[in-house]
Amino acid sequence: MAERLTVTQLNTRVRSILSESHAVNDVWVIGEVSNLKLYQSGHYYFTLKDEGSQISSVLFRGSRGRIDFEPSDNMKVSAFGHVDLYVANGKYQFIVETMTPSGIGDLFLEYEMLRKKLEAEGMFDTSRKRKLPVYPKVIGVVTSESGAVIHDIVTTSGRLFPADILLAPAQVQGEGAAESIVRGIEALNREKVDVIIVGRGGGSIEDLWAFNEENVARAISSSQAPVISAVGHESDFTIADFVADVRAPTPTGAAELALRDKREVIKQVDGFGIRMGRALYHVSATMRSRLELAGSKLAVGRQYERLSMLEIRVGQLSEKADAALRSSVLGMRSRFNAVDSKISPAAAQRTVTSLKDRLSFLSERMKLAIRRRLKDAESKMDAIDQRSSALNPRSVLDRGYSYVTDSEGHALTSARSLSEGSMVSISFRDGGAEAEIKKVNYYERRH
Amino acid sequence: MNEDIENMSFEECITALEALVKELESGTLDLDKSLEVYERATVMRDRCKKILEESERRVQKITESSEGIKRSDLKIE
Repeated sequence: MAERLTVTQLNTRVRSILSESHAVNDVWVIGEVSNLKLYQSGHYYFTLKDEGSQISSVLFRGSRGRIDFEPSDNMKVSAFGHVDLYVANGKYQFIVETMTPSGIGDLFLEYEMLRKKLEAEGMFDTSRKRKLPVYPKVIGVVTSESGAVIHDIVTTSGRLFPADILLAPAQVQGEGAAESIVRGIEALNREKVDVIIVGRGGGSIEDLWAFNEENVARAISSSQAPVISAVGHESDFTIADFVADVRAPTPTGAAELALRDKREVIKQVDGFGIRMGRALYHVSATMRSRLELAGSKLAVGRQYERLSMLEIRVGQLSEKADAALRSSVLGMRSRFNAVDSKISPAAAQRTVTSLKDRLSFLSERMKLAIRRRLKDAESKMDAIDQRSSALNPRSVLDRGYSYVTDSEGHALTSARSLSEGSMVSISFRDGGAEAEIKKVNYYERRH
Repeated sequence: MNEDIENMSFEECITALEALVKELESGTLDLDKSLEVYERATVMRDRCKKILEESERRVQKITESSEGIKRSDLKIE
């Protein structure tokens, strides 16, 4: 059985169908304004019409801030909004959210159409965006030679990573601007720049129009070098902004995207310097403790000499690590000074003085630690020395004895530690020999 | 031994420097190798700093004509 509805239910139902339909929501409508009335409430009521049709329209007070002209009868406009039904009287109307005098409305339509077309082609896809080089050598800029853009970029880049700047002077507004921008992008690609900034200062939609042209969009997307767009200001998005690999809100922002802050990079390099020093210090400390261990185990012949030589190397290493640490401490101190100079002079003086005290305390301690380690090593070497002269291995060797060590330098005192085929070193008074064991004989155990 | 560093770009240099620092930190190098790597890393660090602090950047513009692209210095007030 067919449904039975009240009038209110029917109108409410039609209203909800209208409000859900894409066909009549968020659309641009071109027409002529007539019967314009401004009500006490602040709402504009008018009719939009063309040759064949008309529709009641309203621009609510709240939306009036979005239009920057006074509408009047017979004016051609492009109005953006949606269709709504007024349940109480069953009449539908066009709710205008914003509108522009018609010439410009056409531009908006054109813009929307191109945006949709390029979006459908996938030209705005995130997957297409190229990564900016971290340390570019040359930055290309396509903009007017006399405008603020190139000035801002050159000025800003003074405190950024040092890169050459190559300008392709371009006409950025008016007839032929789009072609001029395209030529600039192509020329800079031929010049093999690492990244390109395309930009101009803010302006009206007509001023920015070249950046909404299809050929500019295509030149950006087929550029070899990644492209940063810097067009207009925060609120105006051009097609060029959508296609570019990165969009910068201002020319200064574009330079900062293209080049890292120089101080940051210096800090990074200094950081490597500090880590190098620390690593070397660590290596020297490890070597030293290993040497001390070796020294306590072994103190004869060339091992002893090798040990002394290594000791000297480790001493050099320690000095180097010490110097490296100290220079990084000095570096830190000068950075502290730089930071402090921005604070009140008295407070800065106090901080610097106390930092200096601490730093000299630290470097003093470092020196002491290294000296102590050297001293330790020296006394250990002395002990080794005494022990070895007590044994006086050389005098034994002089008498025609030799001694045998395994491949790791351990003295061999028993035939049982040998096996056929093992390699040994034999040390004589005046030299040594590498030998391979052919056969092992054991003596009867004697007590 | 470290002459090649003088011709490295900043990017090559800082990338190689980072690798050497990591190698040093790994603690797998012997004494002689550690010193050698340290020396090389020092030269690289100095080269990086030199590029950052001393290099003169060029600001130029291009002019296209039938003879091709020409570069000339650009003055910015």
